[in-house]
Amino acid sequence: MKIAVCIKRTPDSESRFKVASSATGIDETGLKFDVDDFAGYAVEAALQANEKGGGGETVVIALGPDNVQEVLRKAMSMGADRAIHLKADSLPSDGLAVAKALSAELKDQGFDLILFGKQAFDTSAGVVGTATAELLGLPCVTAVSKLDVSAGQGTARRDLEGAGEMVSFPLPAVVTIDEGVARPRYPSLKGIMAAKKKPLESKPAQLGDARVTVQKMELPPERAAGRIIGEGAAAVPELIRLLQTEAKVL
Amino acid sequence: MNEPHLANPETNPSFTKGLFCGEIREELVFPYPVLSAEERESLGLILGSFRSWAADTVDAAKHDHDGQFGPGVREGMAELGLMGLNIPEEYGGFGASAKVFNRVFGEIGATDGALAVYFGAHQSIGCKGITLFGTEAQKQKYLPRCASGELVAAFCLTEPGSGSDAQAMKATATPSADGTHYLLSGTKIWISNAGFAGLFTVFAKVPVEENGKKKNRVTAFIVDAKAPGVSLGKLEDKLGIKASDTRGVFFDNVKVPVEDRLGDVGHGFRIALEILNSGRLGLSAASARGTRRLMEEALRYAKQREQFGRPIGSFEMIQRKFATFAYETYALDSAWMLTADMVDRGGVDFSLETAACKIHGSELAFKAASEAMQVAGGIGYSKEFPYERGLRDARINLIFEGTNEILRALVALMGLQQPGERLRAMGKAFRNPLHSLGVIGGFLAGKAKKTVSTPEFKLVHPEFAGEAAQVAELVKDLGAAVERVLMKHGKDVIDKQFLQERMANASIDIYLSTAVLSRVTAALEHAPDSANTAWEVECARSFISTAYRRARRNIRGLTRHRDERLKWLAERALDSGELLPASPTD
Ligand SMILES: Cc1cc2nc3c(=O)[nH]c(=O)nc-3n(C[C@H](O)[C@H](O)[C@H](O)COP(=O)(O)OP(=O)(O)OC[C@H]3O[C@@H](n4cnc5c(N)ncnc54)[C@H](O)[C@@H]3O)c2cc1C
Repeated sequence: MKIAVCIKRTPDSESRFKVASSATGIDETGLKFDVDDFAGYAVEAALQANEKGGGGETVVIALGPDNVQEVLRKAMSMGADRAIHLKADSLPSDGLAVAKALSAELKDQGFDLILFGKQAFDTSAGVVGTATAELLGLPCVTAVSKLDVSAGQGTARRDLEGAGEMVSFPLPAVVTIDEGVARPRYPSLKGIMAAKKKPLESKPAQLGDARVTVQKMELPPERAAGRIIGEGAAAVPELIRLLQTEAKVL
Repeated sequence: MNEPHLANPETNPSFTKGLFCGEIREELVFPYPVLSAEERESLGLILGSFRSWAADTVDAAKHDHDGQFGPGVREGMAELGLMGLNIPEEYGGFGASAKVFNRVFGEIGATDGALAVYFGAHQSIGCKGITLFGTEAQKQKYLPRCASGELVAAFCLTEPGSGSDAQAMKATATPSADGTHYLLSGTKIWISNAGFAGLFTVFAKVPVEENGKKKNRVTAFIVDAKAPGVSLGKLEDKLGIKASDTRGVFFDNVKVPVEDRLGDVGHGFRIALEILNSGRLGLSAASARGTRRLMEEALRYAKQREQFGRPIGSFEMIQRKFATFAYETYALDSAWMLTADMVDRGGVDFSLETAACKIHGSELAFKAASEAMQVAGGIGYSKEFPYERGLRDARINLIFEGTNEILRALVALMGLQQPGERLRAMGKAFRNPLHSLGVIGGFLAGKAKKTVSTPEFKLVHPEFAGEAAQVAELVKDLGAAVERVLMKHGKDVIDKQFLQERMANASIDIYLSTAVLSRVTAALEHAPDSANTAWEVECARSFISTAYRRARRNIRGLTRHRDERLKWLAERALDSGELLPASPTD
């Protein structure tokens, strides 16, 4: 099966973030970047689907400046066969603009399945996958935690609040992946070496108009410091009074 | 056949040997090495894979408690490909540079000391001889299986009667009459990975006739662990690195095909030394990373633990500990990386630099573990926290791959070789000091002639001109003191270990200071305004001023000392069996 996985380069979620001096994004100095978490699950899902199906091709695609080639090579060191880098000076905040560039690349390439992470850690927008499906006119299943594909047909599980939902759909299709589908494998040293020899094609991204822009980014307001009301049982009445009148939680 | 070559003093220049001549061979240590973009990316991926895998699989405390690795640990190391990290690509490994290899070694060591010994005994020393000195056929036959982890390797040098004095080994390998094989017999002890091993690199003496005289020449062999006549002793019960499998290995008339002889007859000792020369670097990289990890654990604790109404980290006696280990570890990091680059560059004799890194690193990490435990107070002593295991695990590094005493003697005596030659007459005796520690002959005579110009650094960043001048002053004074020592003691310097220890310590501090100068120069040139550079500058200044004072004391102690008194005390104790006079209560 021919599978495309669109992956994003995002900062490690355990980093400490600062707002950049421009106040419209984060300060990237000293941050570690990696394949976005959900995109990592999507790569794993694609590799497993092709392993189960006994072959095929897994193509990873990323859009952005040259530094996204790192995450493409990482995906190839996990086992993807080749990579496409859609070159853009920066990544627009308008998911539709990105989806236009991706769909321009993906259409007419004969992919049976196109995978995305359900959302990216840095923007949490969740737009690009669904918008790409719309632009390609393909069925779209979002936030999938289990995926089976074979012979032109796919089935997937979606975890709902307190329930699971099984869906089926014809291929080709766009699927966005939630965690739970399978832990992404660690690139082995063999994989890392092999990735250096795999094809990585770089070409200009045909971005759509970016109509959404970030005006300002700010950190959540600092929480007020705690207050000690008293000690032991003697403090309880006052505590209850404050919880009722000030905090208004009781 | 590859001759032992890496540390060949005849052809390759050495920075530290230069110090003993009062010279700064600056071209060997500038510019400071950087990883290529490709290496940096691969390293990031390898470390990422190892960390994610280890977080799921490696439970160092449990390994310590159980005295063995958990299920999937050794398999996982093999699946990740780590068992072939420094085996060349054409033989199925990753072919990592020394810089990348040692950085990964450090990460493994900081995660689980026993696992690092497993990894190092296999690759740093176990099968390294095949990579360095094997024939094409030997490499083809063994390395791919070593790289995949199918064959775990071990290094068999130590014997009951022969530890530091490796030349005194008794194991023999007698050629068969038909010349097809050797019969190997002997006992090796303290062999790391013995119980896991599929392959041993074994050193044994081959009887030969030279000019009508019978001699026994140390020779290296590759031995199949399953060959008839190979058996294992019981597992050693050790202080630390408990999951590392350490045992005796016994060879009883084991048939070793001639094709499995590694290098020529009589080259075994140099082969062993060269394997250990590069192997030692891993221990220093692991010491650096281990120190950082344990101290950062202590840092977190010091921020959160309150006494007298404030975090203990706010007390200056606690702060002094963090500051000390910050700049000392900065220097160690600077030095092992610089030395790893010497290994990668080739054509440089790095034998004394790897020894310097191993000595400084092992002692630093052990002290750091002790101080981290001190910061943690009572909980530091508990098995529930990593400090006491850190302390126990770190201790081995002062003992194996050459004890720190032997390595200090190595640094001093190899360092003395060139000035000795300059003072003529000394020549041969020093050429192979370990070889001839006990049997050195030859004379030292003649007056020293001042031929050397005043040493100076020309490539250090101007901001560090003051420190550079201080280090240069040390080099000049070391060179001068060494000459005076040689003139005074002649060949007897071989037995002057009080002096050797000080020379070694001074040259180690000078080498580390130089590595720091090189690194901080690079930082100031490439990123003068970054906050990280400012931090590096503080580490660098603190280290060099400390090292300067230590080295000054050691150099002064080469000519002014009370060694006779120390010797009297030691010999008195050795003679009587009592350490000191009876106490007032006895
Ligand atoms: C856990 C562990 C793992 C090991 N793994 C291996 C392995 O995989 N392969 C292997 O071959 N060996 C291994 N060894 C052996 C190790 O390398 C030796 O223990 C070490 O070289 C010291 O030898 P020794 O124990 O005989 O001590 P000795 O040589 O008897 O030394 C005892 C003390 O005397 C000092 N000393 C000796 N000679 C001198 C001198 N000339 N000047 C000053 N001081 C001197 C030493 O520094 C030391 O302090 C291992 C040891 C341990 C404990």
